[in-house]
Amino acid sequence: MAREVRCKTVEEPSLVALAKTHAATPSFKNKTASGSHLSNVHLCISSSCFLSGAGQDVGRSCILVSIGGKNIMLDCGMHMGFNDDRRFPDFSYITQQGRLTEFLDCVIISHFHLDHCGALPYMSEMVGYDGPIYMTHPTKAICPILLEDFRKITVDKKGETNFFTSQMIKDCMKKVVPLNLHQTVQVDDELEIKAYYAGHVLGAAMVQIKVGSESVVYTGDYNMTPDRHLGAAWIDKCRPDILISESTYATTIRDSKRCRERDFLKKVHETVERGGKVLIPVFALGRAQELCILLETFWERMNMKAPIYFSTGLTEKANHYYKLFITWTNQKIRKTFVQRNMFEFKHIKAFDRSYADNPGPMVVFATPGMLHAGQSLQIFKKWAGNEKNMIIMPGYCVQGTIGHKILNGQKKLEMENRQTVIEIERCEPGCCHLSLEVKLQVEYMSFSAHADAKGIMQLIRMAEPRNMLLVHGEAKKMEFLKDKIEQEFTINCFMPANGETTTVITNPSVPVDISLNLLKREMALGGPLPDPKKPRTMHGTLIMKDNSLRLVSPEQALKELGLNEHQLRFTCRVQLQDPHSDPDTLSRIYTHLKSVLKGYTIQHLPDGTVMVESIVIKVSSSAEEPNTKVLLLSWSYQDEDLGSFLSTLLKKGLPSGLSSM
Amino acid sequence: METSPGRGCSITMEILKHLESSLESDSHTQVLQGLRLLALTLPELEAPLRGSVIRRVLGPLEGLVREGRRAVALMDVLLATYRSGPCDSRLVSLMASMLNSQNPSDAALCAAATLHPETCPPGLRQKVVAVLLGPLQMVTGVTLLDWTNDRHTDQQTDHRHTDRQTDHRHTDQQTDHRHTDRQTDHRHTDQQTDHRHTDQPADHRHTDQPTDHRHTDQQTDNRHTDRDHRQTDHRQTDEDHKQTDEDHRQTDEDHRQTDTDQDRQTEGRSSLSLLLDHLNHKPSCISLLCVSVSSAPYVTDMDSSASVILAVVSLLRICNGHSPSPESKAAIGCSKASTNLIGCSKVQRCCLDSLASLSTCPGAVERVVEVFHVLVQNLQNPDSDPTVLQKNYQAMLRWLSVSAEPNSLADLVTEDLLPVLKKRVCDVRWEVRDSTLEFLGQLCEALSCTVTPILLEALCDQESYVRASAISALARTLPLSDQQGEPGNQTQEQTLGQLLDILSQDSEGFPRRAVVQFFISWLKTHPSSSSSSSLCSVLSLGSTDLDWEVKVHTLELVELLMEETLPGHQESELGSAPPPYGGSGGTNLLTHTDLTHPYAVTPSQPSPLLTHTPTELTHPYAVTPSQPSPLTHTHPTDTHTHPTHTPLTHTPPTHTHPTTSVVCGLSRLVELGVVTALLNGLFDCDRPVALKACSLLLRLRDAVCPSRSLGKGAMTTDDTTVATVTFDLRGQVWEREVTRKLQEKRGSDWVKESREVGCDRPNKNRDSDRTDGAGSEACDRSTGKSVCEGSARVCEVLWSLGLEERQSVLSQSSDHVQNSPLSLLEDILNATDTSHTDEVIVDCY
Repeated sequence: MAREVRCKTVEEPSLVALAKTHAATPSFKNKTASGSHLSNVHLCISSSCFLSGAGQDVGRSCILVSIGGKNIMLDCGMHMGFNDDRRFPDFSYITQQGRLTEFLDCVIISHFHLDHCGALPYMSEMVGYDGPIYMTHPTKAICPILLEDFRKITVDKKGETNFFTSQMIKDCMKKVVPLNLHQTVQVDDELEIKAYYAGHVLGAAMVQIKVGSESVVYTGDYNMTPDRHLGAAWIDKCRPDILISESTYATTIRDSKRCRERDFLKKVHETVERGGKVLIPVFALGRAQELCILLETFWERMNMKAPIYFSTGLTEKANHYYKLFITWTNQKIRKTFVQRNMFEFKHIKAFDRSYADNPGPMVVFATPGMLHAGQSLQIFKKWAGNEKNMIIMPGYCVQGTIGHKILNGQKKLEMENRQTVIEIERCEPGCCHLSLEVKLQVEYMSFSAHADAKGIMQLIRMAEPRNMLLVHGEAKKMEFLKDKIEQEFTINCFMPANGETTTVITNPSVPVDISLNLLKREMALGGPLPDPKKPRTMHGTLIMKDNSLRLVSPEQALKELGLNEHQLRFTCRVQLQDPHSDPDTLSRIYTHLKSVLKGYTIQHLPDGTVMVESIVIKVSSSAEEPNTKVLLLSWSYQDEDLGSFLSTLLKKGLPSGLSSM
Repeated sequence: METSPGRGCSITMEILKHLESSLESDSHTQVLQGLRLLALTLPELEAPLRGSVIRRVLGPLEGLVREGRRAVALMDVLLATYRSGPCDSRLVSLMASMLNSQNPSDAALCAAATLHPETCPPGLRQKVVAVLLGPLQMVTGVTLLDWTNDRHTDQQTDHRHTDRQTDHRHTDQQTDHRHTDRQTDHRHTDQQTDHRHTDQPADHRHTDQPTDHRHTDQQTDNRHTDRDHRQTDHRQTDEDHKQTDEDHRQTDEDHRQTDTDQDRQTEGRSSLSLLLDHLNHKPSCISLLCVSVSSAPYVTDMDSSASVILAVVSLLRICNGHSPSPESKAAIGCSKASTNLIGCSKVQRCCLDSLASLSTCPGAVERVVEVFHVLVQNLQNPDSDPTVLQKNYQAMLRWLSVSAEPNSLADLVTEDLLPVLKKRVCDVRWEVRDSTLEFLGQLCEALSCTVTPILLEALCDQESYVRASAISALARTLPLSDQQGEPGNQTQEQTLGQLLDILSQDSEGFPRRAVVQFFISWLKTHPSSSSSSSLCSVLSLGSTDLDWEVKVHTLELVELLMEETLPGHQESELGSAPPPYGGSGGTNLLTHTDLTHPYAVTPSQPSPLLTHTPTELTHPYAVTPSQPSPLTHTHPTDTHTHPTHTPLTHTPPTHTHPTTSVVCGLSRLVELGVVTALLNGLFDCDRPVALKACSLLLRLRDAVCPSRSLGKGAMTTDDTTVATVTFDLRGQVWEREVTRKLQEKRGSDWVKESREVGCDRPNKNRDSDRTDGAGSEACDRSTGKSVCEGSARVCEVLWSLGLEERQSVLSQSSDHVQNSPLSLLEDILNATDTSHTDEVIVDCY
């Protein structure tokens, strides 16, 4: 019972599985087909994405796209809220038999956040996948740091035996092929991918996946407004068949980031001024760097003296990556780079745990970000009892963690930990029970960089997709956005739930070689010169052989394939009441058709037939019923349309006022 | 909600109906959903319901099989059904028709799925093997299937010209085969339906759709007679067939046999051309071969293993751009398949995995050299994909162990392999360098050779993973160089120096972890020649590292040292190694890493210690302050002035008094910095580190410190001696904490006792302001001087820390708070409180 309550806002397994199309790979056999009509190719997309429940949770992104017979996995995230198997996507859902390597053509990771890459070593090393994994250079460099960080958190918990090791993380990273922005990478002969800048975090990318003329764009997480250290997302007008976009802030138009930043600085400043200490629990990478830049510039401008510390070497290492991948940051940072590297901080120093007891104000960035273990928790315990102090939570906290509890306003934390009591005793003499009083000020600041409703619409305008698919968001909000998108862009918008399948039909252009003879013949037939902007109907025989499609004249096809030609004619009898002689009836038919079918070649032949183009019409009647005429119509299959039309026309009878000649 | 049994039943029926209609739906999506649902639920169902579900869905499933699409999802369902319990023959025949799929890739996928013994119906095994090995045989030309005994597949080897001779379709005779060979020759049965789709009985199991057959026919050039015939007068043909059917039912056995052969030839040719088509088309060729090669080890038996290995080797050669053998060219009729495979890393990966598994086959020994050659060839290719190379190394290691005489490959290794490995160590891709170094370590261990210079060079690699791998490889090979009596002393010193540099300066955790692990394995292989100066440095650097795993590994090293130094109270009669006195490691470290070692222990009377009884030595140890005492300097083995890392050799164990050995052991541990490292760990904020340190401290206490060491009267003189071993705690982060603990535990009697056993060594830092320090109280107050300020007695500290209590706290995981019912209640209460707040916090990183 209790468990259920706890999980109510926790996301269900959210593997988004997009199924494959069969029609996309034509079976190339020695087959002839007449006519130029090609069947539509179905890009079938099935999704099983149940997206965030109460919107307080981080989902795990794992999307399987099948396009043109290729299977691509987009992101391979894990769920921070679960401790058991549910934290990873259920890969048996993709294929129950065989290994993933045989099924998947490649895996693409959009950025280094764990809800997008956390299950990667599990998938590649424990489930077994040896195929290529694509990610950008910064993601490849930073991903293992976060995975190591996460592994540490997990090992710290009890009963975590079946978890990936450092060696597995390394082996997984060895399978990664780095991507450059705007560089088209050929995965194999048919499948190509291209990365675009996505903002959000260092190295985040959107990817365009293309097989033949079909394409899908996956955004991952993106941000359409530049922030302090990163630029805004950008994409070509690539008109994909489907655009898969995150929709975290589907209905929100967020207040400007500047406001939030000002608010943050104001709060830090006030606390430091009154002699308090500020604790900012962060994960090693991402938010920490942004806040460091923010504080560094503020300290510089205000000439502040209070020390700022980083708790571990991890963040320093992260800063190293920001320096290394300076080209991925925003223009301002790149411009000022020559004069001063934004990531070389003057005011921010490494932290030693003994500093926590130092008197006077200070600001400390400590890991981990959710206050569930480690240094940040230790410092928190030391500082919690003093109302002068402040804690700023700049990101998401999993339910049950101390971070989550204090954000929810809990003022008394049951620690059940005698060691804690001892420590509390030390900083708060006299307080000798099993709970910790939270007297310090608790602040939450959302700095996450996702596109809001406006940004999502902006991206749609940029890419001009034919269909839209929303993931990574809350159902209600997505519904609202979906309606808005459908109204504004008149395109289909899907928001698949867990286990749901969406089918998208695409019209691929399949290139066909046309024989020169056939073209010449078409030209000889006259008519206007071909206009490249207008479709033109052409007759020929399509030969699909050895992976090539050729349109040739029927004669050539017959010759090539060594086949005999068979003439196919349709015949049709139409009964008509006409009190004239047979030749007269024929004449009347001739006159009637002459008047109806203007512009057609109609001949009255001396052998007692009327010819309309290639269609032959004869009249006969029996001696018993001379007024009942039987019209015999015969046409070749090429004139099927006209033949059908004529038979329908003649069935209606002849107008009474017709003269016989 | 109240649910009556009847209602439940009707709900089940509704679900079943929905499932059935999903499977019969025109929507691809809905069918897939239905199939997935079936595959997931069937294994869970109980007997009666399961039966009725299967009865309901078999019909639609047959329809889907006929349609010939969604092979993988369908096979999932069929296998789930087969595995979940007894099933009727319809199911097995459905699986058989899946194996006869018109699409060889689908057939191969189905065969691969059916492969495992528990899922493969016995009657299908032979077919499965044929489907899986067929493509491999076709491309490589290596005979894998014993077609003289296998009636099904002998047509696959038939060349086209033979087929042409039998290019008449005696459809009529096939009826007979169907009835006779239904179970054994499924492909054959399929073939009949090809021509008899109009006159088959309604309940016929193999009802392939007509359209597919037309494709099949059209693929084969020499069948137009038949096709024309059908096109012009289909009905008539069918009638004729019926008639001939009737006639031929009467024919004799011989005639039937001839026809069977003819039909098989036709069928074989048909599947051959299908397969050819597939192999000529690059993507399907690759996927087909991947399935085929990956499954090869599982279908290999005693007789065929050698040829399967040969086939895989040939395939790898083709991937490397070598032309296939002439026989295979004849077999496949064109070389397009082989051009499709050149440089194809997907196939290479599968081949190498497969090859690694095949190394355990009975026929492996005879193919070792061939395999080795092709593996070296892969390494020589500069374009090889990093994953391919990694797998290549893995396969190579497996095959190295296959060779009956490892020396037989020695020439190959030195002449071919090592030069190419040297190149790969300098590859531009770190992935390749890393895999190569990992492999080098394992190779040297396996073949007992050394490549130390290459590894040493790699210690300066710019990629941390590579540096770590080089260190791990060194850990494997350095003991070997030692054994081989190489002039390695200087190299070893140099190496140790380099490693300590990495431990103190490397910004990445992986190399630092590897360094500590290096020392662990070093200590394991060289228990008697470990350098105490190096160990001191490792302990002090490792226990204060930023990376939690470096700290945990350091504690593992501590554990080893404890085991070595304190073989246990009982066994200590045999004598443990006496401490090498002069090696004051801390100062060595000083010269090397510019870090101040916090302590240094020197015996007051170094040499008599081993010979004197403890009673004579009331104060065998005294704490040397950070400024080394003159005694330390005058010691003959003192290395203060020599900043080299000379591996020290332990004095051979001598028979000493047990207590002496314990005292010596503890002193040695103190001297090495073990106690400081353990306390660093105990007060670490990373729980796994603290827990490990805590349990080690408990072990140390139980092994060394007499339980009543602080009690009155119960203490023997031996115990007293042990209790007097002190260590320096000045400058440590935990100094205050430990001091406070000590104060709490001390009683007045202890103060009195401390006067007797206190330090006798003059201390120059007497005027220090740390008057509350444990050491100061432990010192001889009778003289009015705080003679051993900043030091504390090991046993006393160990007893004062409340280790048991700490251990129980630490063994609680970091998420125990959030897992407790109380925490859950709090969350629920809070959720109700905050449900009406304005904004729900949404944040996803």
